[in-house]
Amino acid sequence: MNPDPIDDLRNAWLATIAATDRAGAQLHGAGPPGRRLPWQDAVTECWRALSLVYAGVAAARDPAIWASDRDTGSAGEVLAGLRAAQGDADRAAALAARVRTRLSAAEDRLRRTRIVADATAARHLAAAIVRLDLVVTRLAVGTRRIDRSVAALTGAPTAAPDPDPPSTSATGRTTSTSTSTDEIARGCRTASALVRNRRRTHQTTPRRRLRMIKERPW
Amino acid sequence: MVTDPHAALRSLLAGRLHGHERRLRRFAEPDWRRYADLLAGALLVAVRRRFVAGQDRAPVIRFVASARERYDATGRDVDPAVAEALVWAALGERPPVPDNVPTIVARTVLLLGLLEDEGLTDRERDDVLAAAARAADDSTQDAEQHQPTAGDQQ
Repeated sequence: MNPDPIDDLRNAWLATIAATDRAGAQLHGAGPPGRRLPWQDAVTECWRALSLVYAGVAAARDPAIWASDRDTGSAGEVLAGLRAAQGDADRAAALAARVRTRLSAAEDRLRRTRIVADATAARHLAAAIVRLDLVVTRLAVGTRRIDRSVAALTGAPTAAPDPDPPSTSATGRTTSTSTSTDEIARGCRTASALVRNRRRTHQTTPRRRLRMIKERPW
Repeated sequence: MVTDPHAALRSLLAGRLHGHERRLRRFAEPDWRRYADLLAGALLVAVRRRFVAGQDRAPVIRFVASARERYDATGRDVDPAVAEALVWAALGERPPVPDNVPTIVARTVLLLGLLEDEGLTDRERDDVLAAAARAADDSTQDAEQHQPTAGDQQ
């Protein structure tokens, strides 16, 4: 990794933008349904770029780096780098959202043709949408981390201190003194049942997994 | 010290459902209240890790839809209006949502969705829980300070 974490961070955001841009361009002229589409690789690249972002964020949060930056008086450069990274992150998130819209439209179109190959392609698109959603989510979380780094550097109050507890004054009380414990218990049991149902739906037995592998068209 | 409500929430977030339900069955009245406070605190921390006050509505709407898609197969158990109100309240953009059954359900599902999306490690999850416990303690103290005393009422 580059010794300057901010450069790494910027490079990672730029790679994410390039990857999502390429994904969008490839999808525009998507090839025959059923064939592996090049933008699927672009989505993978998004993930790779995101791992670089996390490495950059982790490095930027290293207290030793902050201390040395303060000693050498380069805090302004770090701040400028973080703000540039914020801008890149916003752009990357906007592009990813645009690609997602195109993917959704394409998936919808393919699913309604009632052709088996199209249905398969639609499932691939749906999987890509889920991945893109995760990319956007993690871009958002990364951006919040950058916000906190900027706030720490400038001494400005931050909306989401982490891992310190957030101020509850802004949101009012979170205590549940006015609620009956019966209602809390019923809510918890309902939620628990939802989680159990979800797990049951998503769990596959070893036998079913084996059958899925055997039936896969190689 | 890890209390039973804390351990119950940790079991739920770690996906240990049997342990979670076993602990819930042992809860006394103060435990339920503490659990609800921890849940509210954890959602507050998790929401602020991902969203920021004054941001676009679309990502919040999309997240709530995604959480409902994952956990609410019937579409009747998680009220989207309540779920969105909880997120905005956590960001300080709306008044707090009163606790009741739909709120507890939505809060649990949103918290699980947020943490699942982030893909936290065990340690990061424990950090979120510790921050939630501190938030719950703070709000309990606030509530006690604002509680009218017998002298005030006279």
